[in-house]
Amino acid sequence: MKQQLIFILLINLGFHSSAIFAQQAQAVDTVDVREKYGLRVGIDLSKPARTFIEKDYQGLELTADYRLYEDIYLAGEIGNEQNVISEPNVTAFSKGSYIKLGGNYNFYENWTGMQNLIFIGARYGFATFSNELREFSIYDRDPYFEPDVRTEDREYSNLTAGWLELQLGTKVEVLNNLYLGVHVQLKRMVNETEPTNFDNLYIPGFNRTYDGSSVGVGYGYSISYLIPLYKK
Amino acid sequence: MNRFQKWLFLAGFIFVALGCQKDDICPEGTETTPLLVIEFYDPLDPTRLKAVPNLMVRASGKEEVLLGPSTVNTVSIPLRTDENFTEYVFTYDSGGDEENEDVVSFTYSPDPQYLNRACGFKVNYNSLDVAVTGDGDNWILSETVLQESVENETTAHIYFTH
Repeated sequence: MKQQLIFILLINLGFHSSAIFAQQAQAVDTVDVREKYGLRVGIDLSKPARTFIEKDYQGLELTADYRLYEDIYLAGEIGNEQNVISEPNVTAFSKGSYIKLGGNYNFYENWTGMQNLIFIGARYGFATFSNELREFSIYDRDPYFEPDVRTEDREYSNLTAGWLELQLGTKVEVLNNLYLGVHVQLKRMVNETEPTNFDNLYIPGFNRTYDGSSVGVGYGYSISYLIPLYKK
Repeated sequence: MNRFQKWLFLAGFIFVALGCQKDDICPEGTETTPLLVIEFYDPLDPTRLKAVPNLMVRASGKEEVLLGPSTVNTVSIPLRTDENFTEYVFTYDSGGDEENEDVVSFTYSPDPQYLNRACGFKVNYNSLDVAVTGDGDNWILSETVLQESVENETTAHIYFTH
């Protein structure tokens, strides 16, 4: 009987001490509510996907952002694209590189311990590219003579373009420090060198242009990794 | 943000991104490759238009008739955009007693001009010249180039007297 009592006492002590230790460990965990600051680098998933699916397209884009303040990030993209534009009467090929620099503002109020983003971003984009007119037809409403379709290789190089871009998107932490993101872009052309007697139908980074309008649109899906530098 | 909301956001953005496509159709009424406008005048009174009875026009080497036979004082004809000359046969009083064929050749330098992404290019014709092949019995008495560059169809480019 006495032995039994001592045994129960020991078990009780064991439970008790383990409970104390657990509490101590938890206490350390909940105290730290600092958020991670660092450099997030990633790639745009849509461009390699399009490269794989579309025969005439090739593209790659690297993205990065750096957390400056609580809600403000320095952000930018750098990329390279080439694409064939096939319209009924014109076929052209465009290739070149671009860079976009600006910032993001995170307007999502996270729960403590979460670091997701719903952001609005602004960028200045700049591209250098070349444009090649490959085929065109002469627009003629009178069908008396055969249609005049011409194959040419007229290349215009050293073209540049600059634009302002607004982005709206989200980045969600799916694993520790690993983010998946999606965003849409609305752009407005600021300056553009146009080839003589032709037009830029596609500009790397800006995407396709519209006749009589300086507006452009785009989207991106990103996967990125946060390299934490410090906590605040 | 729970998992459902995340996916809802994703779906929303995909929808917006795919929705931004504009149709690229060449609109009617866009300026196009111009036709050559020829007017026929009276040689005695060069201010008076004079209709050609039963005029028929077709390009040399083509069976298909471009226009006619009809009695008109103005014709609009297309030029070949892929050559620097076009030869036409103008038949006076086609099918009638006074039927007379004249071969007219137009020479020019075609100059493609970019319009827009939907329509492509048009051609303007520069350094226009015209010659009537002499056959001893020409019904076209004289030919005059009014405009050396053909960019639209608003006024006549050439006039013939007969």
